[in-house]
Amino acid sequence: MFGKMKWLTLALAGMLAALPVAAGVPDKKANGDHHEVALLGIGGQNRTWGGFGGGALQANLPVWKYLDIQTGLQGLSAGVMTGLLQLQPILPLKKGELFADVTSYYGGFYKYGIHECLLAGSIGWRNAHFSVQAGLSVRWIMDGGQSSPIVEPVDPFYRIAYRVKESDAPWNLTAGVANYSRYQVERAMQPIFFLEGSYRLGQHLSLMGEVYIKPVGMFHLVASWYGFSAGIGLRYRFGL
Amino acid sequence: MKKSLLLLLMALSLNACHLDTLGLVYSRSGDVETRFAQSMEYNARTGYASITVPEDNYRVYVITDAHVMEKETRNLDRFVKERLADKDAAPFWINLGDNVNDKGQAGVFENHIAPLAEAGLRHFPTVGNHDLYFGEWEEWRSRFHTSTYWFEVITPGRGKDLFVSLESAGGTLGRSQRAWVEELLTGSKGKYDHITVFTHTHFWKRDNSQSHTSNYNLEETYDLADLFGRMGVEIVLGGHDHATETTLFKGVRYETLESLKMDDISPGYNIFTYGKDIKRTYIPVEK
Repeated sequence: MFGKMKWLTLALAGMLAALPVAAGVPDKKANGDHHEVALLGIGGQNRTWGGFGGGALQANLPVWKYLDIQTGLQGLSAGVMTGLLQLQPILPLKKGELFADVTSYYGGFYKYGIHECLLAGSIGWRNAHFSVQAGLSVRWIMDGGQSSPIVEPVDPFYRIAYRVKESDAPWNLTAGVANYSRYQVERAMQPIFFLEGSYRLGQHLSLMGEVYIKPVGMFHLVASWYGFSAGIGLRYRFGL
Repeated sequence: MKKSLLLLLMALSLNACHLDTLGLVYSRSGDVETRFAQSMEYNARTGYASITVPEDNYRVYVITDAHVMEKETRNLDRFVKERLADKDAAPFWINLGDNVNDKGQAGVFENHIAPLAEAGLRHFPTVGNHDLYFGEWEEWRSRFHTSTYWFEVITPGRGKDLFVSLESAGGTLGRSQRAWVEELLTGSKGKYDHITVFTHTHFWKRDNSQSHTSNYNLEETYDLADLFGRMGVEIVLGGHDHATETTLFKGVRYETLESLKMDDISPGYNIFTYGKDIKRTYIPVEK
């Protein structure tokens, strides 16, 4: 089951990130969202790996008025590859929209021979600026068959973010806190603070950057610095 | 009325374990790198312990999360009494930390375990997050000196067992301690019958017994799980969660132990019997 889940997540995330309009599916939408693909270089430092680098591919696919798809694929020099796929059915409201979220995540820590899969379900609300989401996840941690998988069940899954401008503005900043990003899903009590920005270079092309700050011990241990990762790259927006 | 009730509930929840709320964002006991350096400085001056036991099989008493305060020492006192009554157990005991439940209580804990020292039983502690709250690392260090160290137990016919204490009260070992334990375990390969790692923070989260409790970030969890598996660690003892859990992963047995804290659901302590293998026995402390 976990092998299939891993490959399904990676394959879908990769395909969808690379071929956003392959099926000719039109993008939407009332708030100006369009299909987007981004390629980023990643660098970071943490207490476990020291310095590390890598790359990431991500896509936002507002494929339908009632469905968003978001994906991310990342490979790091620390011997890690992760993929995340989110399906978000949407219910537009007079103010903003309600959304559900089904997240499938795979993390391969090849350096350690450890793999993890995660499924999460959550609901949220967002408008042009504000997004809040909360739900639950279950994680399986595997050591390549040496032991039975460790199951970490019923862990909260959340994200709160504020975006300064509307999505089609020439520049934008989004800040927030979550226990997940496109590239990792942490346990609930290990929040990730993030700042994402973009700057339009042309009709379709934007420069984008992101920073993720990971403390440790914030909840009921002793708060400590753990690490950060940062990415910079280019985003191509279709359909403009 | 509703606002008052909410404030009251928040105050009660925080006071239930006398949390250092500033510790949510800032450590008043410094960084793990500093604490590790101080532990190493003490170890360099005093060396590491070798304990000889008379039999190949020996019993080790282990407690965690006593969380004592001035009028909340009943469970700790019971443990001390029962440990003293076991004349044939190994001449040491292990403590996984969280001795106290509020600032200024370290002396209470030390006074109540004094009979064990008077009986010649050596105390091997590791620091917990509550021991670091309110800037009390120096208080803990003045009494117990080091939280990162190793000691060995020498048996007459079975060889030696290695015990390694790691400081994890901040949810990370830090770079220096991580390098230290890898070097220690690399040099210990093939020399010991059983290798035991003990630390405060548990590794896995297979239930939500303490849903608000964090542990390590996942990168570090997997890194240490791989290290322990490669280096022949047999058992890892942890506390913090106040609930028991046994997990087998990469050939290593992870035991999260019950707390000793008064008014917890199932307070108690554990006895580990080292011999051909390692057996765990849970001893409840009656309410």
